[in-house]
Amino acid sequence: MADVHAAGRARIAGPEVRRLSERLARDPASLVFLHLGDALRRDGRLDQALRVAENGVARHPDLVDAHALLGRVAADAGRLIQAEACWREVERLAPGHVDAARGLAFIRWCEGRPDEAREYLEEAFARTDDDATRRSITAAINRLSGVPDRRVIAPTPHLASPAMTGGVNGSGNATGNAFVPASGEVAQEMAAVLEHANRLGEAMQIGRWHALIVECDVGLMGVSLSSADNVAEPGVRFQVADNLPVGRAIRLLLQDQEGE
Amino acid sequence: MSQTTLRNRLRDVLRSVSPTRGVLGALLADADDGIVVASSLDVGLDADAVGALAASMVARANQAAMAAGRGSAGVIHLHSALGWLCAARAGAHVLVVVADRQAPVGHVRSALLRARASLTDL
Repeated sequence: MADVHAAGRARIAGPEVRRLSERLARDPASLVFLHLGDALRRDGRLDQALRVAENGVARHPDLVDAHALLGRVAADAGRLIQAEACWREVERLAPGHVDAARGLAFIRWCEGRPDEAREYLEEAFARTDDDATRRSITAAINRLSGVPDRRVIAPTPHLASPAMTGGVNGSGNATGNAFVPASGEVAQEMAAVLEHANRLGEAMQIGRWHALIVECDVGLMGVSLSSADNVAEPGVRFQVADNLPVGRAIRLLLQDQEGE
Repeated sequence: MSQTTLRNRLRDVLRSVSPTRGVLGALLADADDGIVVASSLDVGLDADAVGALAASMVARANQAAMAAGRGSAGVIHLHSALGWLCAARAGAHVLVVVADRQAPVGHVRSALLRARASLTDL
């Protein structure tokens, strides 16, 4: 099994990671670890990303970006307590840091506390006057509030909930809006499922999860992970469907992610 | 049936999953406490952690399904860039199959369901 995993890693280990690793090896005190840690995180190699980020923090304890990197990686790895400590440290070093508020929002969201997540996002919004950042934060707030994001109701076949947003015909093609905001108890339970999924990915050495399907007595529930780098956006889409084969649901979820 | 015989039968059921293309191993854990009862996973993996986390994930997914008004949760599929996991409640246990990313979804799912049916006969 180890060989299979190693082969998988080799496939996804891009030249960027190799180049950055070599640069860091040549100059361990450099700030290249910031880029390497993020590159590893994007590859889903969270164990390695954690090591790089933790070493970076140890070498540069006063560097805000080092703590921010560790906060992002720890959150991805489902280590919410560690992630929160990192973002608190960012706040201490750089009061009013936008990403600290967004990072804390993400943690609250993962914990199934959407109201607190929204408060942090609103705080983040107030901390920046950058238009792109504000748009991104607004999209995240809207998603928490159940306001459809224009980007995710494209007229392409997706999973859908007849009860909530539209219909799914016998072939599984959505006839209404594609994405359903999870709320209340469902969101809380799914957040717990996803935290377990994060930790399972780590235990199984298969990296960050991309899609999760729960087959139910009635249809299925699907969750896909946004490929957005921005950790503060709740980059998880919850969808439900009736009458859709599981293999097709998985393909659709993975297409969602790749299509971002 | 003695405990030893039962364990051997369980191991046989798990081994029956492995010939499926892309399957890397399987594991059976107690649904309540997540303790691993039998495993054919490679020794390089922390089977105890996988069992405990999978059992807990299946339980929470079931609660999510109930809360969403969709009845009970059946099979759960977790995909990553490098592989995937398929898990389902099997009586008092949780059955977990780990596969590489090339494994055909339908085949792995069928193997899991066959193994689950075998377990109920024990």
